[in-house]
Amino acid sequence: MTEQKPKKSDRKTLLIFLGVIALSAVVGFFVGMGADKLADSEALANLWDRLLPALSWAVFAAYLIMNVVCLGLAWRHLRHARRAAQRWDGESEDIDQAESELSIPMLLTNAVMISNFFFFAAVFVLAEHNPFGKTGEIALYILDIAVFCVSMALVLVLQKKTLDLVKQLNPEKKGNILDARFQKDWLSSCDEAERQAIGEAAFAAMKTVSTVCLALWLISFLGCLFFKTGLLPVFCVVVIWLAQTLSYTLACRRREQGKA
Amino acid sequence: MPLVNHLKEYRVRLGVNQQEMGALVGTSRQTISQIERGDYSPSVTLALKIAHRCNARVEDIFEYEEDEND
Repeated sequence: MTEQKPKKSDRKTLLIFLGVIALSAVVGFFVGMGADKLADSEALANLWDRLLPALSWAVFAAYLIMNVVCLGLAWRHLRHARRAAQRWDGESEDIDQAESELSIPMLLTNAVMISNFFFFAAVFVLAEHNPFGKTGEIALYILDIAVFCVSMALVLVLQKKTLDLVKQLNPEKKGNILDARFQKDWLSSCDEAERQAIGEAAFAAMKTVSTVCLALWLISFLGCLFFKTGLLPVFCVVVIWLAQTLSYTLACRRREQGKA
Repeated sequence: MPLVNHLKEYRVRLGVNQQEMGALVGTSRQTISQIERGDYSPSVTLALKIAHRCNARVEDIFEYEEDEND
């Protein structure tokens, strides 16, 4: 009786899996038909042409607002944590809450840093469509570069201050964020609990990125088929997906062989 | 978690704070805090180090309670 149970649950799982595949195929069929209709739509093409000039400055505005809001919030949380650290007598356990706040500046600054790469490229590409001619185009190029440089400098400053505070609260931590060896030094100063947390977080990230890559492949493939975006986006998504999956799997293999 | 610990009592008896305890056993203050809260179960090596520093047996500091489902 015990031997049959695993087979029944396997069959059930297989049926659910096949059901999901079939449903995905049906949904994909209708999404593809819809994308085909959209691609042929003249109204959409006209709308896009009308939106482009406004989009150039709108994207720049979004770029600026994103930086101000996210970096402002990051600074606020860092200040909170700093005040708590100054009040800490070294004995009380209240510092744990303040310390957990320090992950927010790191999250926000990393998000800003990566988003900056997108916005920098987007503003550059859209600049030629701006409604103010050549002057507007050059102004956008200059502003784009200026915001990018200032933002990256602020990101570095905030991350350095955050890590300095972490090191103040945890003197055993090593590593300078401006150093190329930072990640290696930091990891070597982590104890068993921290390494376990890093491992679990890496696995969770790997699962999320795999799902996101699948969704992005679908979008870039439909874009390639119906909106003539070319194979490059599909290629980029697959490269990221492969790099992530293979590096994770190979790292696990090295650990199993005791070579970590 | 099935592991019940009395680390805080032993630490207070020793007269050290979490940071000092961490330094004594080669781990971070955060890990000591997580162990005391029951959010982390130490490895055998770390548990032995802690017991050694507290002049106690591992079983005195960490108790394993059987889960009802086991």
